[in-house]
Amino acid sequence: MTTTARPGAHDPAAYHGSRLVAYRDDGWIAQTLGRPAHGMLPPLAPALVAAAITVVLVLAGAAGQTGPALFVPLVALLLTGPSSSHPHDGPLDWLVPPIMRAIEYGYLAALGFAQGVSEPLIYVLIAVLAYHHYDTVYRTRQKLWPQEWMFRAGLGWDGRMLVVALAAFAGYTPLAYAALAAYLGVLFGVESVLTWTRTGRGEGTMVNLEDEEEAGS
Amino acid sequence: MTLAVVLATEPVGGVGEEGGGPTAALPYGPDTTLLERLLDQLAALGVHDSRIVARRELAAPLHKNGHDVIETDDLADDLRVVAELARAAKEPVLILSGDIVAGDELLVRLVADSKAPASAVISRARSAGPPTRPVVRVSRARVVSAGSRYHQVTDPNAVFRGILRVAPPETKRLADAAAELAGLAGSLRPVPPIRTREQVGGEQLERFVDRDAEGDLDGSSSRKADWAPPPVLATTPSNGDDVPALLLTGLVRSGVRVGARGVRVLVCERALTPEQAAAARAAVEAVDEDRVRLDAAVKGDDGFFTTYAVSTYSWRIARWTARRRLTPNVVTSISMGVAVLAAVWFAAGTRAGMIVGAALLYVAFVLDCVDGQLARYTRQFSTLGAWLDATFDRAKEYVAYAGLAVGSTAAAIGSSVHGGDVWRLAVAAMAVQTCRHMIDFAFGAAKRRVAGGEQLPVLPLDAPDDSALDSPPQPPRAAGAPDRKGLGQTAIWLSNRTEKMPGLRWAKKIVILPIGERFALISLSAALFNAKVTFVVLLCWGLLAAGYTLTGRILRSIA
Repeated sequence: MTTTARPGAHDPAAYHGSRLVAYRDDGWIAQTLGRPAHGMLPPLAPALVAAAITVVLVLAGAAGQTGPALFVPLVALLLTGPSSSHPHDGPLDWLVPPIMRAIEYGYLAALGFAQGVSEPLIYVLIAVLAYHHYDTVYRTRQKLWPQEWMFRAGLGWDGRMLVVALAAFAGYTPLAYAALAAYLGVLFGVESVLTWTRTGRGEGTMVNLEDEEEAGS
Repeated sequence: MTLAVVLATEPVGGVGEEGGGPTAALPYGPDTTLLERLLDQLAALGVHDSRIVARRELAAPLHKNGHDVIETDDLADDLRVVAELARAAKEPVLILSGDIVAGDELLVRLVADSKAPASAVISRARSAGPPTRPVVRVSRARVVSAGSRYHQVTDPNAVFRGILRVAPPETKRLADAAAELAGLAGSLRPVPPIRTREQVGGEQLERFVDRDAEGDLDGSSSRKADWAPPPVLATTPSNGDDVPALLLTGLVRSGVRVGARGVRVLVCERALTPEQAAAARAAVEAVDEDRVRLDAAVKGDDGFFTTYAVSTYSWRIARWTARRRLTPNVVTSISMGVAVLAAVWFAAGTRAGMIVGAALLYVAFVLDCVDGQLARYTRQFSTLGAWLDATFDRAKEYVAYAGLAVGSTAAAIGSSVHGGDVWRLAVAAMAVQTCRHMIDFAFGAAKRRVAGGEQLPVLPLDAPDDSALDSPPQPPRAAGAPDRKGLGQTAIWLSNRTEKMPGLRWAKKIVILPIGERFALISLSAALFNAKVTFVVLLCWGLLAAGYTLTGRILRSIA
C-alpha cells in the first residue's frame, strides 16, 4: 500500500526532521556517498559552496562548453552527497532543500538554454520536477511517505543532472530533456495520482495541506 | 469514533438537598432535559457511546428518564471510573459535564475537527467579581495552567467551559492523572481560585514563532471577541466537585499539551439552576449557527488582495454552491478549467485575448477561494480534495505562465502584446516561485520539528498552587526594548511589534507576494502591458520577497 514504514513514524520530531531529508530528493549516488559519513557531516556549508560554484560556473558560460558543464553535477554531488545522511537538525539546515532545488533548476535551465534545447521543453521538464517536489511535500504532510523505490526511479537531483550533463557530452541534450520530461512526467504523475486517489476520500476531518505556507498559499 | 464521558455529579441547589436531583436533569425547553439534549447532539455527531457518571443519591431522576448510569459514591469514585474508561479507550475521549448547554457547531468542531492531542473549551470573556467557573491561564493557544476547587491558577486569563477532549495516546496520561487524583481526593484542601502575581505581560519571545506564517492555531486566536454571556449565566458557583476541571488540571500538570479552543461567538455554558437552563437555551437559539459557520469558512489570515477583493463576496458564491449541492472538488476542477481557458486566451497574443485571459484568471482565483470556503462551510473535507486544491493552485499559475509565453511570441511584431521570446523568463519565474515555496515548506518542517520536541513542565497534583511555573525574576530593562541582545532577538521583537500596526502588517503580507497578489499581478500586468512585463515584475518581486523572508527566518533560526 501507500503508507510504508518511514523514518520516525512514532516520533513527530524525527518525522518532521526526516521530511527535510526527503525534500532534498537525493538519488542513489548521493545516498551512497552519504553512507560512509553516518550522518556526521553537517549539510549546510557544502550546499552553500555547491550553490556558489554552480552560479560561478554557469555565469562563466560553462553550460555552453560540454566539458565544464559536466563539472557542475560532479562538484555538487561530491560536495553535498556525503552529508545526505545527516538528520538535518541544525538551526539553519532547512535552507538545504531549497538550495538543492535552486542548484537543480538553475543548472537544468542554464544547460538547456546554452545547448539550444527548445525552451518550452525546458519549461515542461522543470514543471514536471516542480510537480514532484510539491507532491513530496504534500504527501509527507499527510503521512503518505513516498516509497523508497520512488527516490531511485526518480533518479534524484544528482541522477537527473548527470543524465543531462552526459547527454550534453555526447551531443544529445535535447533528446535527454525530452526523454527525462516524458519518463519523469509519467512516473511522477501516475504514481502520485494513484496514491492520492487510493487514499480515501471523505475522512470528515479538516485537511489543510497548505497550513505551513506563507508566500505560497 | 469518540467515547463521551458525561459527569452528572452536580446537585441542583447545593450538596445534601436531595430533592433537587442532578443539574443534568434540569429541563431544556418543555419536553427534554439538558442531558437528553446533550446525548442527542452527540449522537447526531456519531458519538453513540456515552457513559453517564452520577452519584448514587442523584441517580434516581436519571434512571427515571431511561439513562444508563454508572453510579458512584464520591469524588474518588468518579475519578476511578474515568480512569478505567480512559485506560480502556482506543478512541478519543470527550469529558463533559452533563449540564452543558452548547451549540451544535461548537461540538462539531470539537469532535470532528480537533487534531490536537488534547483540547479544552475555554472562553476569554471573564466576568468581574470572583470567578464562578474554573479559571485557566492560556498562552499561545495552549492551557499552561488550569484550576479547580483544589488548584490555584496564577494570573488567569480565561475560564474553562467544561468540555475536554483527549485523543490517544494522551488518553493514557488522562487515565494516570485521574487515578492519581482519585488517590489524592481525600487529602486535597479547597483553595482560593486565583493567585495574583501579575508577571504576565511583556512579549514572550519564542524562537521560531513566525507570525506571518502562523495560522489560527486550533481555532482559538483572539481575532474575534468571545461571546459575553448574559449576567444570569455563569453567576452560580457549582456545589459539587467539578471533575472535568480536575481532569484538565491533571492533564496540564502532567505535561500534556492541551490546546485552548475558544468559544468565540458560540455558546458553551453550564446550567446549574432552572433559570440558567432557560437563559442558556435562549442564548443558544439567539446564535445564527449557519452564519457563524459561513463566517468561519472564510479564512482569516489571507493576504490583502484575497481579503479585500475576493473574500468580501466569495462567501455568497460558497453559499450558493452549497445550496446547489456542488462538491468542493467540482468547484476546484471548474477553477482549474477556467485557468486553462485563461491560458488559452493569453496564448492568442492579442490585446483582447490578454484582457479576457486576465479576467478569467481572476475568476479562477475566486473559485479557488470558494472551494475551500465551501469545504469548510459544508464540512466536506477529504485528503483527495486537499491535494487537488493544492496541486491545481500550482498548476493554474504555471499554466498561465506558459500561456503568456506562447502569446508573447505569437503576437504580431510591433503590437503592444508582443514581448518577444520570453520562455527563459517564464522558466526563471517558475523556478523562483517553486524555490520560494520550498523555502516555506522546509522552514515549516523545521518549525514543526522544534515545536514537537518541546517538553512541557510537570507539576505535582497535590500542590495547591502553580508557583513552580513562575518565571524567574528578570533584571529591570527599558520598557519595550528587546530583552536580550542579538540581531535575531531584535528581529523577532521588531516583527512582533510591527504585527500590531495594521498598515505595516498588511505591508508585510503584501511584500511576500502571496497567491492573491501574484494572480492579481499577472492579470493586471498582462491586461495592461505584455508577458515580458509580467515576468520581469514577477521575478523582481519574487526575488525581493525571497530575500525578505529568508532574512527574517534566518535571524529567527539563529536567535
